[in-house]
Amino acid sequence: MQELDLYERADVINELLARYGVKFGIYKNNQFKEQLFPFDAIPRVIQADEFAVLEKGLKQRVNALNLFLKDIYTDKKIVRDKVVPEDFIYASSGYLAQCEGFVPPKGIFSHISGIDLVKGKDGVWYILEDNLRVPSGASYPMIARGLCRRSAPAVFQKYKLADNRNYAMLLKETMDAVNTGGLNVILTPGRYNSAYFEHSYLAEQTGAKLVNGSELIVENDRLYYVDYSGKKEQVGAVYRRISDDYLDPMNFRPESLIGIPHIFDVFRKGHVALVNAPGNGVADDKGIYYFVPKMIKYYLGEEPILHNAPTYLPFYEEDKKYVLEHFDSLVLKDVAEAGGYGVVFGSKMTKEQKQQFLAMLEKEPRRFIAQEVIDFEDLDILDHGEIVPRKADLRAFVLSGDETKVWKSGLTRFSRNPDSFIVNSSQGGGFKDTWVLSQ
Amino acid sequence: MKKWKLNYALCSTFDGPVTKHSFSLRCFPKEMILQKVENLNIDVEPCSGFSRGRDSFQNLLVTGCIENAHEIFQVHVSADVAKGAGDEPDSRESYRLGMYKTPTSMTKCGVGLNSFYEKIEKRTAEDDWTRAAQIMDMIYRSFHYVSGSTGFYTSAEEAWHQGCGVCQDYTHIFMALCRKEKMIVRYVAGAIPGEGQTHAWAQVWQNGFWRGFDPTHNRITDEDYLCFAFGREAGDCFLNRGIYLGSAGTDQKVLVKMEEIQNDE
Repeated sequence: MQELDLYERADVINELLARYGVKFGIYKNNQFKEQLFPFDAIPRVIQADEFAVLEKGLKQRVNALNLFLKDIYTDKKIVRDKVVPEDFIYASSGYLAQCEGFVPPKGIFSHISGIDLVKGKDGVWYILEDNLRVPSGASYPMIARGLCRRSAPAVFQKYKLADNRNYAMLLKETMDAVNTGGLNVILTPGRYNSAYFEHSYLAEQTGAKLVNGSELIVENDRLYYVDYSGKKEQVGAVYRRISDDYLDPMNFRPESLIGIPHIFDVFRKGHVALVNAPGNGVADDKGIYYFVPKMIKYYLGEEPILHNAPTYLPFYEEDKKYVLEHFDSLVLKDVAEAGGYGVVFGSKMTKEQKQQFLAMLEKEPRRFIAQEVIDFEDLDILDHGEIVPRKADLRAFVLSGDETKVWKSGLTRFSRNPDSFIVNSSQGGGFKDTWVLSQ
Repeated sequence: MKKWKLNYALCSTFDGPVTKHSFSLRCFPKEMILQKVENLNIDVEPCSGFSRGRDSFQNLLVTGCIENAHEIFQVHVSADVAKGAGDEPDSRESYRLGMYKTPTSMTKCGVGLNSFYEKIEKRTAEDDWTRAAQIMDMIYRSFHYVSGSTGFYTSAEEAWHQGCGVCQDYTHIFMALCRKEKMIVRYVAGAIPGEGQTHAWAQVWQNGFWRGFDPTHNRITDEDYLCFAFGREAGDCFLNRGIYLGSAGTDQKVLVKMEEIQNDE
């Protein structure tokens, strides 16, 4: 069995990943700590025909989300037609009034979209959330695939699977498509960022320059990269791995030391592409998630191919009634939180916690969504040499340039805790490669 | 129409040399249907050039960066402005103005403002402008003007808690209460006749027109109010903003002079 070669070499692969710096950092109690992101050698396997449906559905979803962003910051027809209530737009922390009236190059707001899905035990894929700001994670299965191929080449001769090492090419294509003239750069906040490995790896793989804020300057409405010798080169596309708030101290948080003064002004004048565009947070807010199937119908006139997890908005009286009646069977999420935080299961709350939560829900119904708990598929992982089942999700990457493409792979994250549904790396989860069979 | 000669002067003095000084300026009279601007002149010193553009509220935005060491930064703006009486037309439909209905960080009601709102006269007026005038009057009678008592980033709730503030605070409190009733209301930074500081007030939209309410003076605005910049709150339309490298402290002085040009001149 060639697969056994791969499983037996899992420790070696993890050691190599550590040596290459495949880590992520977290801040806890004001301390920065780097952790390994544990790799499990048993891949998630998706059949070609199954992936074809996912691919179609993901493209449809991201196209609709891009149309939504363009509409929200310009015509607002979806508000006029009362498909999405305006409260969900303007009260969203991701909405940026600074983006009003502007459409980025080629009308694309979300160039790199990370869509999180789970597969239910009924075999149906459900979308859990859309990540349209700075979704991370593609580099992990990319590098893991390379190491696995070297460790157990026979496995990859036996199975016909889509090569996932083309992500860098897709990313470069996307940046080139919106580049306004000049270099492609990847803007990192620096080595203390939780995804710094990814920033440096993607720069190396795409040929883009890895830069920090102090290496970019704005002059005469253009953005320039300044190298160590003082030589300046114009920049046409910035794949920024800095959140909107810290991107430009002259337009957003003034205390930001990692941003570039006036970069947003250059962007608004159409002289540089920001990948992804600022302001995308309004479309990946957990409250807006509820409306994505409606957006697909509204903008594309199509039925959604992929399903949302059944979701209720306590903002609507009817939904609130349902939430109160079925509280113990639902999972409740704070729309302002991310990374697996702000997620509580009704069944796991004490009486006091439940009372406190219901009081908050009454006071701020817009702040929460409730979802049915999806009994999602377990995937096998190797735990100290033993195969055990664990909950796992999939982050699919959709890239939008001249056309929308879905990367034939993805980041499969799993929970290492047998009792947990939370798979986030920041909460101790691990990752797997995702194999998409080519036939 | 009244005609005005406007002069705006900003002088920032640093305790020591500063470099990489980025600035954004919105301290210019805005071209509008009822406000026409002529002979606009902008001087920035020291400066090797600046860029003009529009922000997302269509305010004129001048930006630039002074790389070299300097200890003084000065801006001088002059213009002739003709200002008409009445409400400013805006043909946009209300669904396009939703951002002005939603509380922002500076115009959010906290415990103090919510409690005040509960105590004030309940709404009976059918139209927003009548109700806005009532709210303005109630704030004017309950809040006090004390120069220098608040800062650029003071929120409506913080100002209300201390019981006094300046025009920015009056305006934020007014907006916070209007937004509790879902009115469409925007912040205006601008100038009024005389010599002194810039001023702030709010405009409430109704049926295609904006009407100005000045809660600091408890009056409806007229041809004596020149608009510079709009936004959802003061944070959207700071008239000057800058960051620089250096450990120097800053002393900033702003002087605005607005004089009427008599028709027979």
